[in-house]
Amino acid sequence: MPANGPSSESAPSIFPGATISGRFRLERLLGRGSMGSVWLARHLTLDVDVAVKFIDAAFRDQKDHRGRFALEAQAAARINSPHVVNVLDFGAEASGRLYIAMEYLQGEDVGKLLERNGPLSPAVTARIISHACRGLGRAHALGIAHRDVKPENLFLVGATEDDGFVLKILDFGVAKSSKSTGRDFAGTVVGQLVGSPAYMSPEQAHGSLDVDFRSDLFSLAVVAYHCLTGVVPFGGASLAELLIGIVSKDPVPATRLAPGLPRALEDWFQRALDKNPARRFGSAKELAQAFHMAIGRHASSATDYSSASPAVSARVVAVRPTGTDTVVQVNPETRRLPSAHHADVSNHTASSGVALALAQVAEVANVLGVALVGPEGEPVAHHSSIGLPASLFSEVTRRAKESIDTFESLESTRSQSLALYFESATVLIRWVERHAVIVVGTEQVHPTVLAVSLNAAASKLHTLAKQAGSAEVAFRSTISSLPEADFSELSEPEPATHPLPTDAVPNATIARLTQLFAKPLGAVGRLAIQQRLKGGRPTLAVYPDFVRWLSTLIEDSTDREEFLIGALRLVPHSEGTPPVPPSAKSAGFASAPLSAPRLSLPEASRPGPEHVAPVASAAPRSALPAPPRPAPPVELASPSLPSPGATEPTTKAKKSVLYRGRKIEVDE
Amino acid sequence: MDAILRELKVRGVAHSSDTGEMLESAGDFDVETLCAVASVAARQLRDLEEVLCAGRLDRWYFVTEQQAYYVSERSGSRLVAAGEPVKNAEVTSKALHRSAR
Repeated sequence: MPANGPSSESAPSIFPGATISGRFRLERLLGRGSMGSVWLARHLTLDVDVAVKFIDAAFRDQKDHRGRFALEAQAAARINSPHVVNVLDFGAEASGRLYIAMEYLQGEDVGKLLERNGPLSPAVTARIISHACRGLGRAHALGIAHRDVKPENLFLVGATEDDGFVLKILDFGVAKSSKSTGRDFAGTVVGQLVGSPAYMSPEQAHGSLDVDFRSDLFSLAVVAYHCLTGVVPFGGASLAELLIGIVSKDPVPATRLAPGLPRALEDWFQRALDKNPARRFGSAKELAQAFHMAIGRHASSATDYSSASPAVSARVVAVRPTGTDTVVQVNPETRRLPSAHHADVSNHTASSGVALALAQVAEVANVLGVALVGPEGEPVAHHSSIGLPASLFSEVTRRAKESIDTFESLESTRSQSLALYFESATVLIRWVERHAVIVVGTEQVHPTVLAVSLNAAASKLHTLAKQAGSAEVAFRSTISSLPEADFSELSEPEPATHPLPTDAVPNATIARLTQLFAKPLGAVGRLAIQQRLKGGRPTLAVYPDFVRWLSTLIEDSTDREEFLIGALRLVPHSEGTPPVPPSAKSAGFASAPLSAPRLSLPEASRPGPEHVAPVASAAPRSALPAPPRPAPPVELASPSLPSPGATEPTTKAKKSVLYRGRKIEVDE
Repeated sequence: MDAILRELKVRGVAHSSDTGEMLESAGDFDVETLCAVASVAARQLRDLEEVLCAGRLDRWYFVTEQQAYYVSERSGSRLVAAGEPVKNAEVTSKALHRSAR
């Protein structure tokens, strides 16, 4: 509202006791919004409290504001969700002032809760995200984007202390409909900022008109970040600085600000806050489900996304209606959490054969994740496109196995497969050699395609186990499933040649790189490299960028540094070589910029004649911390290209491994 | 029940209460035990609704070396069937679910 504009309560028709359109009697002023005031009123016919929102006199004659006000009412009325404030009436009072009558909500908005409480628990945040996604999902299905998702527009009805609240989305005043015939709920023009700056999406910050539901999902992720950490991910001393941050900077990882948060949330935030709308979650539902799975054991019953079905479990101790929703309480004492060893991802022990088998399943459309779980419920390998933790697969497998063990009273033969079809997810489990391959997909996954793919993977794993003589060896040895040809390639150093920057990185180097990458990441690491190499091997010129990109996938900073240094040593270089021609930039990899800073070791700490390849200027998402040994200084220099005289290191540490009963020496 | 038995080509089919009590059946399988066992398993499997945040469990099937068991969950009851393990249990499961509706 303008600072010197006429106040609505000073207008003769808006005062306590006034009757509006013969339907409502005003009781008291509740608050003010950007365009008007909100009053508590009594519905004279229904005898219930309602909230009546008036547009300020300063705006009532402005066509665009009148239109925005009218369309806000229409948008909210069309959505008709328990998680969007209900619109009861819309009209004009005697003096022509427009009003919207809405359900009267008692509680507080998320903004006030954050002010009062500071950061919220993952369970409370999950409930906020869940309810907001239900409301937004309904709006998005109707082609309506809210465009101003922020804590102040998320109202919590009921007690926030015991997670018993129901969230309602307020203020569709700047909403936009993609299905209306050219009508924009906000009447925006190109370059005009719509929304609250700190929660804006990059496309909103750009002032683009091309803003759709994905913008709401970005804003909701900002709200989630704020809820969990107590601060917004993008800030700045000025609006310009803030907007630059939104469009170009990565936020500080939430787990760094709130160390107790699960690591899987990092992947969730990375996707939800992606600058590119196409890379974000595809729907509100997907975003909510991924969030729940990311927070894993931190979730409670309050986080149920898709239904509030009562009495589904022995652990449910109370079911009570709250307004239009039902709250299900669970006895936390009986909640079975994954044990410590389940929570650890042990996929570093998985073989590449396992990785290939799982990759085959992971590629099926609408698959969210796949894993191989050992006989004791321990995760052997897992892969998830949305960051589902390994512990989740273990937990589901363990519970499913316990359930079907009851069938032993009917027969004693071994389980082969189990298929579970939920309202919004599909789970298939196939047992192979006492291990379980489990795949989780959305409800849209094609069951037959998935089953065929899973059977093929199981067959592949069975063959591996048969060949190796034991599933334990076949599934876990880091080299057991590599073809023997690969060993000869590994043991023979590359001939000394004069490589050009445009040359592809040799296969042997890729094999060694895979070994290095599999050390901290196991099967997932191999998968990442395999998928990245589908478009061909990188050239020597872009190899450092490729390695740098890979290193960002390693969470542990020491492992990351070790990998980066080791991987960069695989490709020799020398100073003063000619710049990389444009043709050196192979598809799929960004070329190292000519003025890239270079990570180099001091002479004293350089092992032998090896050099360290350049690192591109753009810092990885997780910056490399100082290493524990003598710190390698970061210095700016021109990029270096392979030296004609440089060769692969000739002496390498060897280790012995057992492969099919034979002792084989491989590079450490 | 007889019609479902013929259509699905299974050994036994039954309509059971949510608690596992057999309400009606057809075929020569030990459907009473099947109803009870399916009830216990279903109760545990429903816990996964919460773990996965996946909504209601609609249907499920379980295949061993000797049998295939199919369950279609309904509000307050379920339809269960047992038959030979087949290559595409998915088709039978879907057909049972259609029958349940």
